[in-house]
Amino acid sequence: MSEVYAHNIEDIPDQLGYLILNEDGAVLSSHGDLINDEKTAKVFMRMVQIAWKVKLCEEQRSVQRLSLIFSNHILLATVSNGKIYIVKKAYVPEQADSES
Amino acid sequence: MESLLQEKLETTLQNPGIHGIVCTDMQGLCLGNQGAAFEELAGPIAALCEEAYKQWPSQDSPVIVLETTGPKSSADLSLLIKMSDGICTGIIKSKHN
Repeated sequence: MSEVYAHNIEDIPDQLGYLILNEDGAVLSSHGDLINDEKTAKVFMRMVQIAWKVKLCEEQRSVQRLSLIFSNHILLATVSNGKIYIVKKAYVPEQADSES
Repeated sequence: MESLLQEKLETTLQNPGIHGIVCTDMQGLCLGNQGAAFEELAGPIAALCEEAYKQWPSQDSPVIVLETTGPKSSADLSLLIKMSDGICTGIIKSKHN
């Protein structure tokens, strides 16, 4: 069995957790808030399948990234080498700093 | 009511960097579109909103962002999707603006 390489995902600033899925949506690796989060894996699998078919213009080569922005965190997903990488990051809106 | 929506869509399209805008209901029925956002986008937009709503029903619906690339910078676009009151709105925006 080949080992799943996390590509320094743990070094991403403000990273709260990550999931790595294979083409079938099975969790290959997980960490932090997303540890063994099968529910999020399933939803992202379906969303990636929909999103990666979307064509916004004729010259478009591919979809690069899918992000879900919540009030205090962001979930980012990308596909590379037949794997789906999902990262959860903390999100602090810029306005919050200026108002305090 | 329909003309009011079209008017709002046209106004939004005037903003810098906006290439197109589309509104759809949760079943994927296109309620209105302007610019480069074709009616065919209504289905995927509604499906993405539905998936997010099913998973996180108690939270404020997230903003869904889809980023694309191409050989020319004109293909570097973002599709921003937000659902509110059962209506999904998708805006196609240039990444360089």
